[in-house]
Amino acid sequence: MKGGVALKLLQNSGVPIYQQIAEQLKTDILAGKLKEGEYLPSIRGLAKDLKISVITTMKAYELLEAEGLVTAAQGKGFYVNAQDSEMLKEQHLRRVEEALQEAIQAAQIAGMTDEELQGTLQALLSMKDS
Amino acid sequence: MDFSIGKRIRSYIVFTSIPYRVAVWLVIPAGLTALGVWGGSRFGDIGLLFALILLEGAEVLSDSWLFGGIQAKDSEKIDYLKSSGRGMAVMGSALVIDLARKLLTDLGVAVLTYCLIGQVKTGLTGIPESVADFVSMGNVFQETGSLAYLVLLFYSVSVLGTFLSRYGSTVYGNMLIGYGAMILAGLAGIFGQMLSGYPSNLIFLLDLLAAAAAVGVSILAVKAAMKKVRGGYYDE
Amino acid sequence: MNEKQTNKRLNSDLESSNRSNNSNINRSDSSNRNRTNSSNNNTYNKSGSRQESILQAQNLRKRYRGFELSVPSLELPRGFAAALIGENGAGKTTLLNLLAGIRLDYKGEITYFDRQKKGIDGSVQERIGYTGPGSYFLPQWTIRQVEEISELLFANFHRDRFRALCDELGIGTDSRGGMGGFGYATKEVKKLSDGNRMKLMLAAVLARDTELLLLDEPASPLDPLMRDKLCDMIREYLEQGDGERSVFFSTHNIADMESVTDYCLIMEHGCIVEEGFVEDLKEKYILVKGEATDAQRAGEILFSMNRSAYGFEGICLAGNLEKLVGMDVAFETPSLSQICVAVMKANTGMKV
Repeated sequence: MKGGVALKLLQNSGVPIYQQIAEQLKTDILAGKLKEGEYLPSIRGLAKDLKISVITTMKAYELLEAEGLVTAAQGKGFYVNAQDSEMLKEQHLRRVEEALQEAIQAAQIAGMTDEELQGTLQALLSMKDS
Repeated sequence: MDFSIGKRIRSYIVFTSIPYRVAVWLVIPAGLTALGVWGGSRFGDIGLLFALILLEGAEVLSDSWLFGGIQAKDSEKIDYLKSSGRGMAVMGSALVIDLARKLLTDLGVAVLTYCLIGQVKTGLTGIPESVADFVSMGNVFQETGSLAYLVLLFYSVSVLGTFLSRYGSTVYGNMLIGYGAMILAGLAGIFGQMLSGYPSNLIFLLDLLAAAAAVGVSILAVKAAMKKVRGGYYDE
Repeated sequence: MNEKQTNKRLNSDLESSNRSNNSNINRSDSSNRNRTNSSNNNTYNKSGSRQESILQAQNLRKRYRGFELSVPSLELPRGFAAALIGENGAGKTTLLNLLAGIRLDYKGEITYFDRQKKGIDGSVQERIGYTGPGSYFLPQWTIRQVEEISELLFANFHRDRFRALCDELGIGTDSRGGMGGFGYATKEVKKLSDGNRMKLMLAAVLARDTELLLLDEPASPLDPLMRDKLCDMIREYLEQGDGERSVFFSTHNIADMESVTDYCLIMEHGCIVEEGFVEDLKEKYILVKGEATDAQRAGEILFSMNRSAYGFEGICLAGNLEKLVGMDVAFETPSLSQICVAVMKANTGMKV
């Protein structure tokens, strides 16, 4: 597949497939795995590879276009826009916050204390560095 | 639509399969001729009739093999042909050429049987009796005339029979039609056999009538068949 | 689940349906632009435009044997696979027969591709690949005869592709699995199973260069493995066309073909009662699940509903979602199958 993107789709997760595709591609774009100016796979080619309908891939791409991540080029397909590094950073910061919020909620349900939670975070950070 | 002769012949070849063509050009005529000659060696010239009557049944059955049921209402079978602009031309070509084939094989069987019966009578060497008969004075016109009458009449009956058989696709129905054709042909043939003793004017007239019948029935078979097939484009 | 979460979900769903409304507006603007472009330059938006049609029909009417087909307007989008869904006897075969030119007795007009001229003729049929519901070959033809006749009938038929397809689909091979074996020349159509006859029709049709496939109940005689392959073949066909090719198939069982369906038309009693792109329909119809105690009230709001001792489940129109406030409900995106069932059940002649 173009750009070396890998897509994992869950059929019954409750999240519409077009949204899953859009989110995973968005992650790849923001992470720089898909470079500026690079073309996404054609909507029909992607539909064929993923064994889904064309309208689904098209909607995923339209979603990305609405969020400013890609642009549709007449006769050629969708290519990746230049990503504003400021916006990139902000997006990532927001994601960190969301992830941490989730962790806090989960910790509450599990009955962890704040200290235990912080300890886990430290342990994971040191594991990542080593 | 421009459909060359080559394409028409190709249509016939493709529409009919090799087994069909072998049966209809070779096996059946040869078999019938043999039967006719055998009958002729036993019962005389009436053997010719024998061959031609059986020809009727053979024609009806072999045609049903090829075109069976295409004139029936609501027939899905020709929808593939209808899905193409050339479908009708292909179908029409196959029908027409098969008709011509009928006339040729009818003629061939009749002439061969006629000659061979005579051959049997005179033995393997020497001129066949019928040919000798033929060449001798006075009889040429009568002989050819009555032969022509027979051929044309039998041809007409077989075409009529095959035309009717295309309405149904059951084997039994077609066999019945085959029997009917054979009976009808038999009756006409007996009359025709007596013809060679008749005055030339009468023979000429009968030949004309038989030819008219043959032409008429051929046109009917093709035009009506195509009309029915084209009618398949309309449900009611 | 508490009310706050329900409402939050409700609001976000309303937002998303608003968003889709906005994107509808955008699309119609760009569609006007695309239409003008295509009529001037004859270029096509290959990145995907939903607005171009491969086939348009107006005022289609046909009446026979007490059945009436009535389709005031039909437009098949170009570059996509459209499904015609309906019960047996709903009129699917009748409609497809008209579109394929197999039947000519109808009122109304059909315009194909970009032609100004209405109606069908040989040149249009050349570009259409049609398969029938049963078998449309003469039963006594052999597979080889089908190949020969196809070449006579269509200029764009490729023998090598036909043989490769027959091989791939497993028809006409001899017992050792080779091609051109005894079976190929002697296997008669009438001796094939229903599934193999459908595969033969598909092989004959895909061996040609066409721009529109009209398939009448292609999945019905096929086993699940082959149905999956059929979906793959449709996607492959569309991909190779890169937006220029379209597929229109009918089915009475949408679940099998759902993964390839882009556009959906639901037919009842000879009329099209609902149609739209699948993703749009999935935003128009929401699957709602709730408590049995609310079933009574929900029944008045929902488009269609099933209830049991354990609760209710039904389809709600997006526009009516706010009426469900206060009830303990969960929302889901319905499958195309569920939408079709709901529409077919509701069938009060309600359009929109």
